[in-house]
Amino acid sequence: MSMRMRVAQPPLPLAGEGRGEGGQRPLAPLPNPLPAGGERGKFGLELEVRELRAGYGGLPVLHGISLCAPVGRTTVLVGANGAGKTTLLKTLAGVMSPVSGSVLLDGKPLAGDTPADRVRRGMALVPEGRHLFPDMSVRENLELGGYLASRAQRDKMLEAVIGIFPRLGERLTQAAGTMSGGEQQMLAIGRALMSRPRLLLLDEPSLGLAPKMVDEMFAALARINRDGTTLLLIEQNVFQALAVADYAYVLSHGEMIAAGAAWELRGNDLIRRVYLGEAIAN
Amino acid sequence: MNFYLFIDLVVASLVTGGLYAVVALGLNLQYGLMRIMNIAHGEFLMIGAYLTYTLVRLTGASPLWFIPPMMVVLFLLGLVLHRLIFRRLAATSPSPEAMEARSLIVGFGLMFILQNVAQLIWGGGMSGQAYLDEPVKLGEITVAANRLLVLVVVAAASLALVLVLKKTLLGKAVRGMLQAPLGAMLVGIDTRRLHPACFGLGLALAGLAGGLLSMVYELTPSMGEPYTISALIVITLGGLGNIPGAIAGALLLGLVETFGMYYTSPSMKTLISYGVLVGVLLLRPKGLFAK
Repeated sequence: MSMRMRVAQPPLPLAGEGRGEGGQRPLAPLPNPLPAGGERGKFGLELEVRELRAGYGGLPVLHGISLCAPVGRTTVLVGANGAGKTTLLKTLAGVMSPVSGSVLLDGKPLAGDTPADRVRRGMALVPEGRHLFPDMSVRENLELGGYLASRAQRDKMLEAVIGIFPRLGERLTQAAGTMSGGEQQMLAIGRALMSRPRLLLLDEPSLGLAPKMVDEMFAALARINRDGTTLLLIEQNVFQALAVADYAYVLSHGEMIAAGAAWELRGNDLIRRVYLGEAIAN
Repeated sequence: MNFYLFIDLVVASLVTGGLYAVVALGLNLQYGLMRIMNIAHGEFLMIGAYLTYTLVRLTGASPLWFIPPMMVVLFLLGLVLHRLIFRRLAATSPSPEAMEARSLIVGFGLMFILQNVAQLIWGGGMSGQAYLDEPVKLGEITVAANRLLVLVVVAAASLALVLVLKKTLLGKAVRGMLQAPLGAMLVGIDTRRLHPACFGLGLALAGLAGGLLSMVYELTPSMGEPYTISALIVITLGGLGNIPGAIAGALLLGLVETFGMYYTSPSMKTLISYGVLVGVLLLRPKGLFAK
């Protein structure tokens, strides 16, 4: 029940607000999440972002955005290139520092935490461009994914990851940089899973993959989410992402312009326009 | 060329190349991980050599006793220098290129300071204390014992470093930072702790080379400079951040220099090594082993 409340808050800065009458009224968040399934709600972490501002060297990219990724759910963030999605995820992972605003993990602020602290607290990011260790084997990449875990935990997670991506198990000794794009993306996700995250952030996981690989990857994400991990993903592949997501946010030019249940946004015109990069409100 | 002379030259090449490898491995870690263009790297070799020499003169004991504690001292000096200078430099540099340029300037400053401090303490002339300067017969081949010792120690040190980087989780983390800095941060590798440690390790390795050199050659306050240059050539040969490449590059440079000097003259040493550098930069600018 408490989750319903949380989904409805914090108040989102919507396109119509503070812009006079001109803005299109987007969909409000749906106050009726899918029923929480037993274990699903217990493992994951809840992420809440409040009025986050961030940018590069004085150039603001995010103008005070707020969002919530509820426990054990898949939340997708869509928006055209340059909307600030990657900046948001980098800030969440602690690689960039916000100018202002706060990020809460299960209600506790993440203020001065280093990227390593955040991994310890149960977060993991699969970054855009993957950033694998190209000259190291698949096994070594996965081992480093579990860098902060105990040896026993690493061995256990290695098996679990191979269970999700059997292809990685067949290629443990291959150098990561010599694999296909799809396989590298599986490895990037597998490496992030090695720290047994309770909140997994993914930046454009389907970028550059063959359609068959995209299907396979979304199936794997659905499976990871079924195990209770909270997912927050950025996607260009909007309609496929909305199909697996519970909630969706639309980001445009550093501002959140729409939010709601994924099924509700799926048929929405606005998404189409934002995705195609057309101007929304002016 | 007769067989014994050939073996002599090969041993001399391996000794030179092995020392280059130890010096270059440290510089490669510093540059590859932190973009610190430590032009004063050879000066730490010189400090290591003088420290070892002084302790040997004071106590009369074998230099081998003093090399490990001297390496610890240089490691700690590395942590202090990183904390006082390079951490701040990294925090205020807007780009990796700026970091390279600024650390180069700082490196020159460190070089002058260390050379002049050494001159104040030990004087500008040559000092030396040969250790184990006696021939050893290996079958038909005769080698000076101290050179053999240098060869064994540098080989063991290089092998140990490669094994640590290859087999341990910490070593894999260092390689991870070299190959994908952002990826390494995201899996929780704490660069704020590993960077100073790697910087200190670089100094300790330079010190090891210096301690070994003090058993074989005369010391002067400027003895480190040519090793910095050689290390830079070795890194260019082996490829930036490539550890096995640096070892192979060091042995190759040792061979080319030694045989080159034999066939021309010892005064040609610098010309030969710069020739190698120019050749590699022209033909394989990413290193001999780049794919």
